[in-house]
Amino acid sequence: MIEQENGELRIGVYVCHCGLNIAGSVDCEAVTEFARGLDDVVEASDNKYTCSDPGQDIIKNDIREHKLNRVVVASCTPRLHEPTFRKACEDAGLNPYLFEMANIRDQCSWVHLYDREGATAKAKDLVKMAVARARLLTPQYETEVPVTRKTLVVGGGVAGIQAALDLADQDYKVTLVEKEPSIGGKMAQIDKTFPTMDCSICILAPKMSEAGRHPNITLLTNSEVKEVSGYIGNFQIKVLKKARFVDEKECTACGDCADVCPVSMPNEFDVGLATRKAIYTPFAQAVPSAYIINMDDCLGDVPIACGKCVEKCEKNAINFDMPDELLELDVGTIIVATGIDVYDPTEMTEYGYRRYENVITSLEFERLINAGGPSGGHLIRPSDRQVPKTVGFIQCVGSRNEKKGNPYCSNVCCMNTIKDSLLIMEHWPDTKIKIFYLDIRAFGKGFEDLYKRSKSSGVMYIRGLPAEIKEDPATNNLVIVSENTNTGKVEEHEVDMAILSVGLIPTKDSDVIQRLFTLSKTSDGFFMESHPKLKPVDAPTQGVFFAGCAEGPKDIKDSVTQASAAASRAGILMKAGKIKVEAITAVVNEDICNACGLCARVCPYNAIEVDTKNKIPAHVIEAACAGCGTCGAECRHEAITMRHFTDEQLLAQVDAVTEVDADKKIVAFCCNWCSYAGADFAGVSRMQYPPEVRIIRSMCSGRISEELVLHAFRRGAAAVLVAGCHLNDCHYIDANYQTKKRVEKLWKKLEKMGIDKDRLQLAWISAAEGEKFANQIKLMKGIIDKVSAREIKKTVEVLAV
Amino acid sequence: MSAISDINTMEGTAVILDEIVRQAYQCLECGRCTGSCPMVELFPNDFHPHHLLSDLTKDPEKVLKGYELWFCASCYKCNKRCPQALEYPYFIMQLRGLALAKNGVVPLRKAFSRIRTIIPFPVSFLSVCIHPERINLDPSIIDKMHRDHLSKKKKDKFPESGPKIAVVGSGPAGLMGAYELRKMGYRVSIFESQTNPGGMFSRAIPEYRLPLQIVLDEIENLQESGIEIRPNTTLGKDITLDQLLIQDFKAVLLASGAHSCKALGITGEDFEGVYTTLEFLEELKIKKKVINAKTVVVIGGGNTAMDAASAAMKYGAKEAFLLYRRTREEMPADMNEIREAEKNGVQIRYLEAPVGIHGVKSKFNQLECIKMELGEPDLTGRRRPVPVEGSNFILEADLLVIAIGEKPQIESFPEKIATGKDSTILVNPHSMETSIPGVFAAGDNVLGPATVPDAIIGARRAATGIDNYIKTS
Repeated sequence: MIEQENGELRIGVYVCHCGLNIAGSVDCEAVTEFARGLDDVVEASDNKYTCSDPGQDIIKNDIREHKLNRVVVASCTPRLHEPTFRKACEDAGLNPYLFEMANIRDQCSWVHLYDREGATAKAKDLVKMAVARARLLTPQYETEVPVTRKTLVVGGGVAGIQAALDLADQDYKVTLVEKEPSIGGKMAQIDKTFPTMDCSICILAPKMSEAGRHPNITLLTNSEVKEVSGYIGNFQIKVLKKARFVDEKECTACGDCADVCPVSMPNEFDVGLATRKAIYTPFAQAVPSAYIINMDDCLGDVPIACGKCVEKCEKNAINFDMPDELLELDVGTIIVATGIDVYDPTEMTEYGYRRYENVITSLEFERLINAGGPSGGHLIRPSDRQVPKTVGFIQCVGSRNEKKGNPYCSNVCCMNTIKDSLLIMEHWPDTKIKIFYLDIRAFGKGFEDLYKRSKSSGVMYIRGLPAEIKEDPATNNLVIVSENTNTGKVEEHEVDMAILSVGLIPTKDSDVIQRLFTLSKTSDGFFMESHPKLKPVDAPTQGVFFAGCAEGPKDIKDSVTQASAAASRAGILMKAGKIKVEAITAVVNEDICNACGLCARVCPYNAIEVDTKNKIPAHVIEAACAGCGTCGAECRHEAITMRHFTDEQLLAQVDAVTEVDADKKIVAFCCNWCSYAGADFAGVSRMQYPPEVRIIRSMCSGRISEELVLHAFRRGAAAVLVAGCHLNDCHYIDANYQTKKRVEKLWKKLEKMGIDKDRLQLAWISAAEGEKFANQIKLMKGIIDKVSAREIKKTVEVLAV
Repeated sequence: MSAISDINTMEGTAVILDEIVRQAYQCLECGRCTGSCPMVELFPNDFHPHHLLSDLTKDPEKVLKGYELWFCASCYKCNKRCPQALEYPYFIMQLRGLALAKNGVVPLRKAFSRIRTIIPFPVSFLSVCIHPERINLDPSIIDKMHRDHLSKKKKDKFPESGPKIAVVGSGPAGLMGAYELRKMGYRVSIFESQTNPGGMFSRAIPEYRLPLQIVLDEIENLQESGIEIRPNTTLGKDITLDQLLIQDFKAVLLASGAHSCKALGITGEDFEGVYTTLEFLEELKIKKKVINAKTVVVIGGGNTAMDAASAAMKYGAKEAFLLYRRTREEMPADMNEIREAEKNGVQIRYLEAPVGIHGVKSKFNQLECIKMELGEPDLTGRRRPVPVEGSNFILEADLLVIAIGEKPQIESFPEKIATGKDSTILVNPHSMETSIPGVFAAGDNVLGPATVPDAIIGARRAATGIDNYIKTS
């Protein structure tokens, strides 16, 4: 290892063109020239692609040749290539924590595409900031933690089942948690699958039973995850296994109990089209193959009240006193496969769902056409139980709609309807089928063939979304009013039955899942991947992966593919059995600490021990510290050092920003997980905003101390932004509540000092909210334009130490 | 979007047009607007909502010169159903302002000459539906069109021998139905419960939007085609359906509207100074001022509530509050009506609901309210308002208007007629025939409170339905 701490600083700066991604709007040669002029920089060069092997080789050679002891790369976001360059440094014998990145692509060239001058000036500043921080970097040593070779899979639909089986077959222990009484999910409810027209339950049932009897899989149905703590490789989970009131092992699913049960309720599995008893099994192929009692429906076990099932059960499997159980699990990885719900079209009153009996949804159709469904597979219309002679399908119900339902395309409805049309034609070839559509999206393998088959079998495709459905009260027939957009004429089509092809929506409890696993959501309400292209099944929380529709609407094939991918990603972690964790934790200087206890009070992880009574200084339990830095920001005596994000490093960045033209700049403190990622997202989406902002990254907004903000103002900055994750979405449990408190306190303080408090902005920006970030900067540009030189001068004087 | 007043500057005009064109590009051409539009049903060869948007993206100046612009009746059904949430009627309103300033009234006149071939009360229709007052259209232009219409109207000569048809109600639906039937050669008698014919036209639309005289002139003109109107005759009171059917009327068209105002169900609704919307608007229509009232409170969130509050401000109230128990997001009133009410100085208070009406000697002077918050969505998908306990407060006012919706007067219907939600009559969507053979219905008594163009197309369908019924029976 090269020893860096003693002796002179020798910094190498590498400016990447990223093809034209950066060089298109930033003068990279000028930036390199500028870097060469900075103190302690002994080598600077620009390169077309620094991340390429030759690009990395240049860095490695320079480290050896020029005895570099700090490396700065100005290129894309550290969220993308920091690991790449750290590895390169390490290969050349430099501690990877002596590497620093300047984000001149995602947060500069891409967001100032048409302002070469502004972008170049900003890129220079970003490099200056990186060099300033690099000077103060110290080597850090990563610790290794073991990875528990067990996985939690949340959700027992086809994705969850597939992921569980893939891992179990590789000999990892899997706990599969499902909130319904049986696994199977939405796929179990569907009749046939597109484009092959396989029977859905026929191909799913063998997988369900395999999951049920696999020695490596523990199935917890009727169960919910209640608590998650820990970190990658070492999660602690609490699962509530709700009482089933029927012993799973004893029950033979003979059904005698249900025969005598006097209570009749709508069956959820048949979307209310059929009934079930209070003691029931949701469907014939359910796994576990055991009955369950819904206690809200049950008349009770008092013999006078009922208790008939208990008398009837020969195996004595029914136990009314069965308690709920809270199970604790230790797992190394987690797969979130919580699936989707379907859109309820009641709010689209013009289609009369729930008002007109013969208007049904596509999911209801699946149950009606399914041989195991309430009508034994006979397509009948609800009003008179007659087979409809004309059927209308309406597409995009609750999809691609800015007002009702969701703006996105639900991905599966076109193909599902095409499949449904063929199913009807197969059984009742004389049926007249009309499909009202906006666009037919048949993009997958075999999809176009199926579409053509449907068309050639005589199904009418009419372009245009119906304006309304009217009912003839005498016959219960429906009139679909729709413009045929190919002719421009409004047509009225009388049909016996209308099927609303409803979209897919995030599950009702996705907010709970989001909080439990500290996930982020994209604007459509589905969970956000770590990287949309390169890490499509990884959650931003390390050790957590996605399978199936939780991440976005998809069909069965894609769900299964993603499930296997997630299992493979989890397997990679567990195979190694250990993982290095970033050396970003807090340390207390016990000589300075006066044991006031403030740090312990704000730590979201209870990772600080301090005895305030006996004045025994604080100390950090390193394994429990997650590295948010909230303690460091709170300490009044500068007794806490936040490794790799020290006060000195952050202050040096502020100093670098404010060295020239401070009065025209915005200093933005952004947390790594949400707002910094949100700024990156603005870049990826090419959302343009004013170039006056300079972003300083910290792990959490809770790290940003009063002093950092005041220091920026003292140095003459026009405005300061503190940005973090949305409250309750904090990557460090609730550390951003401390941010909120601190900023609110600062506002009061600023007001007292006669400083316009609007100059300090607080914003909650998620990783998906690039537009929000851009708008925030636009808003702040308005603020800094109004701040006068006199005002800034006064601020500097008031804050002068 | 920029305010309409910007039209006065060249720059403002360009900005407004640019913004509308930008939004026009977002049209998915799904056709939900066209399928919803009653004006497309009436004028299929003159007007096509999303083709007009497409034309805007190609040549906005040409659209400003065209007469198509003048067909939208601002019913807002397209906006409510547009998947892109485009506010079509608002674009149209702004474009009309621009077109008037640039190209004058010629395109409007051309549209008018088309409209009067189909709609027998074209000036009343235009006054209510195109909102001339919002686009600074000089009232003298409307006046001139009115005079032209009356003078040009040839005495229609229709046969006198056809079977007799009874129409109940002389609002837009009744008049339209009667005219269509008369054109087919039927002899038509209209039974009207009020002294003045015209329904909502002559009772509820404020004078500043539609002068009563215009309505009466147009109806008089219509009567010359051989339609008889029997005023002060209420169905169910002065005459029954059975009597009509016995009196050799071969069919009946019920076009009795929706005049029964819903009540709040709290104490004090019978106090002096407390009005239903219809009572209030009728009073204004006659007196043209708010008597002795400085502060008017209107309760409700629909178009009628907005109209009542706006009219209160126009006719002399010092301040008008509008209370709505949900937020603007859930408000059923069209966005333009909300904007207009705010422009007229109405102060809209969201998430507030009345709990008690107080007064001295049965004269209203205080409204007790409670703050609301939004709970879980109900079956219609709107979030249910939930009272915040202990948040009661008092609003001092002189006049209270309860505008929480109207429904048909079910008590006036024949007993055996099938009705649905909110006392509306169930009809066959093609023929508009009710559950009683030979009895048809159209307008607000089928739809609940709806718009003039919707009433007109319903009545037209009913007329065809009646014709088919008589020819086949």
